[in-house]
Amino acid sequence: MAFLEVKDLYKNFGETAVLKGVSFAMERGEVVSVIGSSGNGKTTLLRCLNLLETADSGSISVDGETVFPLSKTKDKSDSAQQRLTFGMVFQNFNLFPQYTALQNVTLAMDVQAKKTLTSKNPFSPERRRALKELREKNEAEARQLLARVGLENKVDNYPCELSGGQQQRVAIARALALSPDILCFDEPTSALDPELTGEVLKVIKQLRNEGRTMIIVTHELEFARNVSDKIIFMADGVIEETGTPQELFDSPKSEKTRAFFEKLSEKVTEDDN
Amino acid sequence: MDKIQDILMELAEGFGYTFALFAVTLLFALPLGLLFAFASMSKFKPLKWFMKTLIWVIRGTPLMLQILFMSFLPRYVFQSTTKAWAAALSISINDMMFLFVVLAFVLNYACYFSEIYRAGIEAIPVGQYEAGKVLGLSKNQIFSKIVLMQVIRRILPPMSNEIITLVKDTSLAQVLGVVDLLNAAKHAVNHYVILTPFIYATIFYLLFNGLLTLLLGWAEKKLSYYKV
Repeated sequence: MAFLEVKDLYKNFGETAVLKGVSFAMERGEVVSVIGSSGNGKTTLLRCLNLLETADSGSISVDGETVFPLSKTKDKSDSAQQRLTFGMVFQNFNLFPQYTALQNVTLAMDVQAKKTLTSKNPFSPERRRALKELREKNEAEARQLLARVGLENKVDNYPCELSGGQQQRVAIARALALSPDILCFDEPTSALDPELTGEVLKVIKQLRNEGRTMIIVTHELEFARNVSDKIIFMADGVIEETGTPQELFDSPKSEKTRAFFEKLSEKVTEDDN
Repeated sequence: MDKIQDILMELAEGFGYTFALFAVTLLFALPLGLLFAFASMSKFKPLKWFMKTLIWVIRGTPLMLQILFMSFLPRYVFQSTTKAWAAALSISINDMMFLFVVLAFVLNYACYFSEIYRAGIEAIPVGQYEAGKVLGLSKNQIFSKIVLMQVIRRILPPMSNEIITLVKDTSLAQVLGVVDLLNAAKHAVNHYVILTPFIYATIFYLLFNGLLTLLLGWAEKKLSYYKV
């Protein structure tokens, strides 16, 4: 059984069918890029994985454990815990504006750390001491994470003081902080000025070299080609074609895949003119 | 000279009631308004419509009418008397009247505040909630750790407006005979047959609102260390 198994995912928004039976599998340490034109269900697929959307039917399992559908007997807090299987980096960063880069990273770490405390009495001195220790540990860890994305000098800056590329790197550090099994990127460079995409892509490449399992929804085809083990091409709510970058880019089998690439190259020539 | 001192003493006493009404209204209406805001955004339709109706009635009628209505509650709704209520609470009739005024003010301001809260909450981008969710935060944690601070920052300017209006609205308490600042000034004007008490009252109001403006402006500045 593969590390991540997605089976027959369906999702409708009202009358519109967005996912029409999506199945795929990936192994630990693999990088999968999802490509395709806008409005073909790429983002919805990602959002179904980390339960921001609830799929109408189908199943998701990670490492042999069913993540979706949630069994009815489990209580609500489980869905919050299940989400941590997947890390998520958004197109628009969604950093918390009132917190510094460092606080953005430590916020969820501290919340998780609190759950591990045995004493529930908020006034007990042992609990407060333990909490303080955990916070210090989290802060040190968060500083390291921010250094890894090249922001060791920006830890105390607020998001509004950072460029888009820097904000997205903070968002990546924030997602890494909870050490998710699978890190998801939803068009991580689409909201960035062209000259800023490089620094974000560099970080993703670096994560790949560290052996992170990642799913990347992207329009950066050149990047997808370089960084992925496998490419999924989505069209019209289904996976139209999947394969290694070489297979997909150099000898696409499906008519729709070919049409997609052709349209893109037309656009490039148009831009050149 | 003694006359001025007497007048100022009377006005200070009146200001005591004005300030008490102001402070108690804020103390209760601020949290109650947040509850009202949640209720008016509730997915449970009956609660939502009840709240929307209440807000419509409160915002659609004069505050003075609401104060009078409160004082009619014992007799016309509970078939009792103000006197009996005051006795039950072992307070004086005057204090009972003050309590009616406070009730009307809290309800009225909670409704106005709730609409400001609602606007503030609805202005928070959905991405903030989603970022909280994928980080494993519960609904309550998302609200308290992420949303609330951003809401406060957004609503402070319109809240400041309401708070300053509240200072002036306190003068409506006199319809139930509460001797607030303006009522005290009126008494003094009638009693001593001079107009200066009104001028003193004006100065009281202006000083108090000036202080509030400075305080709220300072808070606004404190909170604007980041951009939303």
